[in-house]
Amino acid sequence: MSLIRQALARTAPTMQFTARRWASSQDGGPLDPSTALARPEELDQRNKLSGKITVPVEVNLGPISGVPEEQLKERRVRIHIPPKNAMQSGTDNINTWQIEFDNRERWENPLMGWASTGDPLSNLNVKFGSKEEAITYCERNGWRWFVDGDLKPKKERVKNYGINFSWNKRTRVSTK
Amino acid sequence: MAGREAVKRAVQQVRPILSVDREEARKRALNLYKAWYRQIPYIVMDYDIPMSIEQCRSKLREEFVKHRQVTDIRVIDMLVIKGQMELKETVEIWKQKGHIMRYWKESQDPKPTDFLSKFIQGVN
Repeated sequence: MSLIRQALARTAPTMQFTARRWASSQDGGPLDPSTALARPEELDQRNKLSGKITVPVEVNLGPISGVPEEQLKERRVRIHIPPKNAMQSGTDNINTWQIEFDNRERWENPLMGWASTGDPLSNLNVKFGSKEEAITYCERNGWRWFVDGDLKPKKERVKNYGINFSWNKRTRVSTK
Repeated sequence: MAGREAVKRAVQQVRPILSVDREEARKRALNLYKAWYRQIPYIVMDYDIPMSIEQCRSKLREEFVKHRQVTDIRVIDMLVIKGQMELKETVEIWKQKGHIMRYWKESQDPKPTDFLSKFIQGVN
């Protein structure tokens, strides 16, 4: 590391010198051709676009999301945690929040007897890390939402087998 | 939760898309409107649609007024970009007659509401 630093220190004065010489001969640093040839209005616009603008945090993407208007007005989103598969004991895939739309008409296709639906949003399956993210997503897209299956804190109780046979519980059945 | 979040931070700094202020966005929207307005006679002629120029212009106005309540500059810019794309597609005849007529949505029948017409159409 120190070797590199030494080498840099040795080369630095010469680099400065070359830079100064360039500046004296050209009167300003090397110009980018696209900047040099641009009209002043164009430069102004470019400067403005490179900056930032202030907008409200709450934005409704409904008009530009491409979702049909009638779908935006009528649909309601259910935000929930997916249930555990009843046939398996693993719980690793239920730590997400999902959004789901209300069900629309389905019918049996007369040709093959397959199930059909005209609902473009029935297969939208988005997973979120938290409930708040899902709510933000719904609000940005202009959908009505409700949170289903919010986790309630469980009531604490003492789990002790012996308590079932306590003298004051009257849970002992007489054998006589 | 979301409400509290919004109260905490009402505005944010973002990169602009096309316009840097509301006035510029308004100018872009007006320019797009004028371009469509001037193109409508040619559209009616080229596509041979069964609509008059006045009907088309009222539809154009309706489409713009539909987004009257949009205030976010970036959303306005995106709407202008989409409108520009649609205009280009229309002018270059990349669309067909049905795509133009889709603005009037005549092909979408209203859903039956009373029992008998539901029964006849086989809709529950």
